[in-house]
Amino acid sequence: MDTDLLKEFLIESTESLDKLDQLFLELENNPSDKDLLNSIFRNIHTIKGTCGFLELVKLESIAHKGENLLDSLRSGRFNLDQAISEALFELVDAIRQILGQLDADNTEGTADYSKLEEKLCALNDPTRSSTAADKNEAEELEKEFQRILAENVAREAGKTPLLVQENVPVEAEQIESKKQSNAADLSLRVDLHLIDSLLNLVSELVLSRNQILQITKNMNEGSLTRATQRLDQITSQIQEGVMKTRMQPIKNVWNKLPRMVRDVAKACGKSVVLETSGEETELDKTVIEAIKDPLTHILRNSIDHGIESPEKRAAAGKSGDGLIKLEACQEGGFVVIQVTDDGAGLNTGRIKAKALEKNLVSQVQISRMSDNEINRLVFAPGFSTAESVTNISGRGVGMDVVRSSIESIGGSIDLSSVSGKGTCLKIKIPLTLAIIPALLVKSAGKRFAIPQNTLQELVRVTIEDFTKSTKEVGKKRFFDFRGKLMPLVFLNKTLSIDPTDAPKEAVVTIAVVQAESGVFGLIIDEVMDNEEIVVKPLSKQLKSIRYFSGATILGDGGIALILDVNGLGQEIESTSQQQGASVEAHSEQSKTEVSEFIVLSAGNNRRVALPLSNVSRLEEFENAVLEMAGEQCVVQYRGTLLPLIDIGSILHSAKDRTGNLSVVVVHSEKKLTGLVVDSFIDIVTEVPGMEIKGGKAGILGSAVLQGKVTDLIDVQALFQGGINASGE
Amino acid sequence: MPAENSFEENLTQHVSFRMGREEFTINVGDVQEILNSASLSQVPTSSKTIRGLINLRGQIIPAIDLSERLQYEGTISEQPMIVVVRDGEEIAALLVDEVGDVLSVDPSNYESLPPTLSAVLSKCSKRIIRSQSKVMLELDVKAILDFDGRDNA
Repeated sequence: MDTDLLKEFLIESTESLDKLDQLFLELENNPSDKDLLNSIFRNIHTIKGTCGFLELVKLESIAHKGENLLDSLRSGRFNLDQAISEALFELVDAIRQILGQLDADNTEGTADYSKLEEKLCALNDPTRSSTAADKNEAEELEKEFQRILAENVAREAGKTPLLVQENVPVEAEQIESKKQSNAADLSLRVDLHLIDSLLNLVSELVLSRNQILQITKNMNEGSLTRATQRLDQITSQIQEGVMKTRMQPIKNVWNKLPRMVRDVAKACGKSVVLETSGEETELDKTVIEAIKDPLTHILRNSIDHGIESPEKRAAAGKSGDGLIKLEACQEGGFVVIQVTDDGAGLNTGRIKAKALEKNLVSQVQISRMSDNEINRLVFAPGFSTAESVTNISGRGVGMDVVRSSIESIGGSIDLSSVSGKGTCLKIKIPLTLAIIPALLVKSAGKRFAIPQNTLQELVRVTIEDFTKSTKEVGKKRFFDFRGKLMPLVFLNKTLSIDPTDAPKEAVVTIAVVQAESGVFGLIIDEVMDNEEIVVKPLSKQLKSIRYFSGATILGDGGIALILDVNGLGQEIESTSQQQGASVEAHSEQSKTEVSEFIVLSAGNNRRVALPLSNVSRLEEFENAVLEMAGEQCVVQYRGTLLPLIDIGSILHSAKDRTGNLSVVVVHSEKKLTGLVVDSFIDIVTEVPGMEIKGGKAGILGSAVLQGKVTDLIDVQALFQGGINASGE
Repeated sequence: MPAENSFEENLTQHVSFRMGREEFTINVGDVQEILNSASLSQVPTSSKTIRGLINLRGQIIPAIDLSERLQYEGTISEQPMIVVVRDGEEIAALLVDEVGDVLSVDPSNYESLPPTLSAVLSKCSKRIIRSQSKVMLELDVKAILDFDGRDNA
């Protein structure tokens, strides 16, 4: 057997099979669509034709039976029904099995397909179809006659594979396939390794270009400058072009999924519809290979555990068909893939129980976790909550393996879930070999790169202004940035490269960056230059360090780490988990801070203040997350319910609330309450002057702070009052 | 020994190197190249096992302090020699004190690992080999590269 020809055949036939899967699925929904039937017939016919050349007897035989059946269908002798549909899918699987065998050892394998062939023949009988019951005898005879004729012709033709078998229909086929092959002439098959080495050379070229640009920057040779500019232009264009050669639309992965979803849903006794969008989004070929399995697993999980049975769905008022949405889009240097189902959502209680049972977390740790954090435990190794571990989603290696597969290509995965409504998995994958614009900076003598797409602004302030505009709340530092409090991250401190966080220069440089958790200011020592850098992934041992998303080689051959702003942004979250500690720390210092007040506006531009030592955090909540617990307005906050008190209403001058709520979270003896205010004004260290005691409940009195009349909030009273109001 | 030459087809080649006072080996197939020196770029918040990153002709690879990795007594010198190893697509640089000769070893001189080996050494070694009247560990590159480089201190 000619191995080159065989290889070609395998590649093309596999593509045909994938197409067939799709077509069969469509056919199920449009059983009498003539174009579909013709298209399917052509595909099988092509496979069967080449089989003759390559002497693939088994394959030819089953393809032939399938072809007959399809011919009957497209001629309208009878219609598609459930049994035929199943048989056709079986046919595709059988062909796939043989192709797999051929790929492995050049043989058709030892499996016996006679049962399948019998089934296909039996189905190719108009008298068994329910719609045939109405036909009269003459038509039945006619059909029988046609069928026998077709079989005879086929049997004859089977002996001489090189002959064209059915004259009239095939002419049309030939013209069609000619048209198709013209389209095929416009594309090439290229060895992946060749493209890989081209791509490597291109990135080396980019580095060389950067070097040359750097050297010639300071020279003033006219012709050299022009030549360098030309080199720059051409390099960029080559870079773009070569990267494009490896990019493929994600639908190349997705086209197999509808079939899988159908099979799994059937096996689970559920009904699921798969909706896709963004299938034209392009990904590098290696990435496409890497996400196939994770996506498959996620979908299987979703169908098996997420989507409820039709009865449960009906009981919950949902539509009988479960919906899974598969979306892809490009965001900056990433491709974002989202899998959303409208099933039952994650069972946080069960996850909690399993995690404790498997000793993945301690009781103490889990009591501090928010629901989201508990849900994320499904990614921990050795975790599986399936009561009955099914064949479908496997045992306890699931989401952990999914996450490491995705992380191995430099991506990340996260999930969110609403009980009863559904689950959403979000996968972010960097475009490999991305060449991204970045800002080079220096901190503690080391060079780092900040991706431009995360950078909003650069701010430089003198030390005096910096100290004036920085406030400390809890254990966090904030910078008063155009009226908003922006959390600060000191890069040197976070990376432990310089223990103090006092700025060294006379000027403080802040990079205002946008992370998933929000905007924050990154304090660095020095800004260097804007540059296009080649992103090189970190080795697997370093991938788990959340502060870096990769590394790059600079013009002088040195290495700069690329900062991951999302990882750095998590610093802001984690310090607040030490709330308990910071509360103690503050009460120790309460002597010196007794005259530090936080000033806010509440209820129609009135000013209120309370001692800073009572303040844990400043938060913002959307109006939508407010809920009622009995008579008390609350919001879900870090795993507990935070009672909210509207300061404005205490002052009897409440404003109508729209949009986001600014809330000051105060603590007293480990209890928390949220005070709803209008906005934050300032933090002052003053001795309050001219106090007038008494007033409404919850107010200590009035004083003058910053030259204005300010009501001082009685925090203790609020806590006591709050408890009484809700009847505890 | 002359007898070894007649089994040339079966001989395996090993790169030998010294850490402290002991010698170790790695199969030649796992070694890409040897470097006399390289400039290291440190990675903040990484463990001591990773001394930094090296730019190897455009590829950024980790420089692994082998004595830290194997929890071996003593430290690698400040001017280490570098054994660049490969496991499939992954490449890394192992820092050692000194690289020695390439040894040819007949499989009859293989021995299994003694049970007295530390857990880390056990995991990162394939077998013991005898050569030129010395007894040395043959290290397993795949196992050596399998660790988390974060500093958990």
